[in-house]
Amino acid sequence: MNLLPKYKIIFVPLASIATLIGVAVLFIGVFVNRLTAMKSELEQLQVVKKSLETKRSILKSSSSIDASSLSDEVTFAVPYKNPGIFLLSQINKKSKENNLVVENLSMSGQSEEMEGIFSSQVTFILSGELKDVNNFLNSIINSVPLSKIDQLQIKVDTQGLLSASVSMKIFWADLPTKLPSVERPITDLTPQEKEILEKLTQLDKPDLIELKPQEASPSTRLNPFSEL
Amino acid sequence: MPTKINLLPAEFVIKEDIKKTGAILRRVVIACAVFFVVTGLFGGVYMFLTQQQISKTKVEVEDLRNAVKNLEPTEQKIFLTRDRIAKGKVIYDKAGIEKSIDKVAKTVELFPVEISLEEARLSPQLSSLQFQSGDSLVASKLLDDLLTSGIFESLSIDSFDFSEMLGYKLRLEFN
Repeated sequence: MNLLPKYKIIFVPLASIATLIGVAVLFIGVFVNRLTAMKSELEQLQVVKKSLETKRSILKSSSSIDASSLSDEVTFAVPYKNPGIFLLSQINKKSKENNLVVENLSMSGQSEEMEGIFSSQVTFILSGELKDVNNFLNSIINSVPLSKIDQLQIKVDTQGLLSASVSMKIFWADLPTKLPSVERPITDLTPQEKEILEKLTQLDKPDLIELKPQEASPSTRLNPFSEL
Repeated sequence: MPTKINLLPAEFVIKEDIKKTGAILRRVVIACAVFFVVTGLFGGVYMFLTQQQISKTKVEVEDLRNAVKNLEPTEQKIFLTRDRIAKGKVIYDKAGIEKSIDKVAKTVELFPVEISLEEARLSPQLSSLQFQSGDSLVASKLLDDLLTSGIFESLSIDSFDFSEMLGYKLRLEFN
């Protein structure tokens, strides 16, 4: 289109301004989108960084090291397998300590109390003195594995002989199968958790015999096929 | 004196006001272009710096991730300890008769020699205690002692029997 020079002098700058504004609008749109995405990425990274820093400092703290060192003890208190054998060991040990006779000891199969926690019913009859029965029961309550006495019937016959029928439950729970992601924040133990941890670690443990592997000594081993 | 002569056709002659407007518009274009370039430069620098910060933070996050992974054995044990604590709490919160056993023991400590325990039935819902006494006054005093002892939150007499052979037989219910 051939414009007259007197109009060109106005239209050319106007067209330039319009072009500049158009390009600016386009660029601003792209710039704002890109910058928003970058800011969002940076914010997310900073959140993860902060969480990891906290996690590292908690994992390095003395209370965490203490808590982790107690994992074996608490697993003794709430084991991952039926702890019936430990309870039998405790009943045997503590009944002897308290001069009590244990009879009719029986253990039922497992039942699921709630998700991941299982229980087994243990019943037995004790004979002896009331004071000793009381000491025995308190002692059992404060021993591993963690248990609950849910029924007790004490009878004293005319000759003064006491028998106590005890019904209790022992518990065990599945172990966790996977760790949460590395980025997942970790918090220190709450006072309530610390209190339970203390109770669990103070429970009396059964006497266990540790069987050590036999020392390998091939030089001293006799060859059964050698000629005498 | 030289004379101004314009040989252009009349339609090509540009008026002074149009010239002025054109000059102003040219300046506006230059100003816009400069502003656009400067703003673009600032924006570019800002984006570059942000990108640098992202890269730096990514490296820091990766280092921290490795540091946390190195502490994984501790984390596993804490996780296990926490899991056992949670399960332990569920078990502790279950109803039991531990307190009732303690109450029976404290009650029997209050028994005078004339009174003997016959039976105790303890359950999380309701517990009972049965004893006998040859003397009603002794039994009455024991009840007074039990009520003032603060051992029980609630205590009620479930039965009260008398026989010439055995004397008084009381059955108390508590929880």
